[in-house]
Amino acid sequence: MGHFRTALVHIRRAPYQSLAAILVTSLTFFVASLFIFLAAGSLRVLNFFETRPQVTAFLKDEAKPLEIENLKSNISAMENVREVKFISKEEALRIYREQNKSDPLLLEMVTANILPASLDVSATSLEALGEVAAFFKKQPIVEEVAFQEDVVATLSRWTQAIRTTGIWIISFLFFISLLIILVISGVKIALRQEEIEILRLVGAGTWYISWPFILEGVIYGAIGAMLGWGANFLVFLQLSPFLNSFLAEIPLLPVPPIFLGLTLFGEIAVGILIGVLGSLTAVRRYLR
Amino acid sequence: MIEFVKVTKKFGPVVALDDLSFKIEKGEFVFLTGPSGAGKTTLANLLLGKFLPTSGKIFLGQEEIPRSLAKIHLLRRKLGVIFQDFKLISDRTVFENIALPLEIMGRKKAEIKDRVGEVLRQVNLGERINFFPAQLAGGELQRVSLARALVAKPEVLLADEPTGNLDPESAWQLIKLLKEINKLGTLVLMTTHNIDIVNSLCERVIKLEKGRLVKDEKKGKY
Repeated sequence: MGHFRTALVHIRRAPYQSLAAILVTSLTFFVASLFIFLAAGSLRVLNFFETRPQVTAFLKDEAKPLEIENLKSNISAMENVREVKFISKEEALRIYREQNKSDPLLLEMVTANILPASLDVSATSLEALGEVAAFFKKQPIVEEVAFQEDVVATLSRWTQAIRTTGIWIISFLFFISLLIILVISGVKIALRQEEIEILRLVGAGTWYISWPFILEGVIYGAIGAMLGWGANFLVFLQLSPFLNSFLAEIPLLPVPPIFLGLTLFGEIAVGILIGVLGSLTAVRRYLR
Repeated sequence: MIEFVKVTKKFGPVVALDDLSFKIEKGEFVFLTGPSGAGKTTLANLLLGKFLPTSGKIFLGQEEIPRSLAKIHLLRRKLGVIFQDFKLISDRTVFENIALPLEIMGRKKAEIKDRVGEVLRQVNLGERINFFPAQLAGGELQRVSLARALVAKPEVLLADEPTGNLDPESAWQLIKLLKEINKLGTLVLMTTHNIDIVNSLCERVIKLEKGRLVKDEKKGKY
């Protein structure tokens, strides 16, 4: 009987212990996947807000093209300014129509004249946004300044908080999974003492006896990781329609298949590592 | 083939074997007898490397039994062993139990299949190949145990009270098999209390009492 087959026999002979190990590992990887998806998603949202125009200066109707051009040049010359874009009244109307094309009521009565022209500015750092906004406010041709500093700063804080919380919770759950695999492997070794003694008497070395227990840990880790990831993926699929409407223009969906594949294989690798560490520790501790 | 040179084994203050020396040549059939507590099981366990002698040396073939318990599995692969309580793995079939020593040695599947079939025929258990130990009678269990001991073609077969749990008919069947194996050149060392078997076979008898060798006769009686 090969080591892998022996490991499967061990699992079949003590199904409840095996189920406990797989379920705990699945729960760990479900939570791990949740935080990985959440962290990646929030990073993408943050990135979206960072790269779109962050300061918009709405211009007075009486602003002359030359004045607008001068203002644009002055802003472009400022340090840490990435892009300055002029949005004319006509373009503003086109954008408005595009955004509200599903609601004809909002399109009625709106003409280019009621919408102001604007200058959209994106910067490379949050600090630069403050300077740009302050500069705009001093300009006589500027009617109003819209400034997204708070949104980006808040998102940035949230992303960091999700990462930190995730790392702590995942580390704790990984530790619990490791302990459960260690305890269950230890119990199985204790239950199989007679078989182990017979194996030793007919010439089996420590590694020959250990392999099935180590492979059992590997099976728990790998199956747990796949189930945890799969459950998380199903939850994500269920939430997709809601996320699509909630996130509107933020291009979060569809999630790239390469990201899904990488997280799955990464989690399986970590699962196998936890299984090996747990069972190997049990083998070293209890197999004498 | 087997040589004990001034072997003493103590468990705390208790002396289990005391300055024991003897030699058994290749192809011999030897009974190891003596009352309970004489040291027969201690001697068998020393030969198996279950523990080390307090003093003295034990040789198997040309090699001394390793002092390191980490290497003892290599020695055990050279020995075939059968026990009074059979020591079969309950959730493995007859085939899987017998194949175990060859699997441990890393032999190929085809070779294992052929060799297991061969020894099963030798012990007359061919039709029980897929049975589990719980489905077999005592005599059959001991024959499975014997088949496992022989499968790797060892030069030495150690039988520790092999007839202890068997009815007389099964016991004699087993002895007949052991004699056949011995005729093929395998050294058989058998510990026993069975007076009839020892007296009927007229083979070499080594007798122990209180850990000391008290008799070693070529054509001995109990």
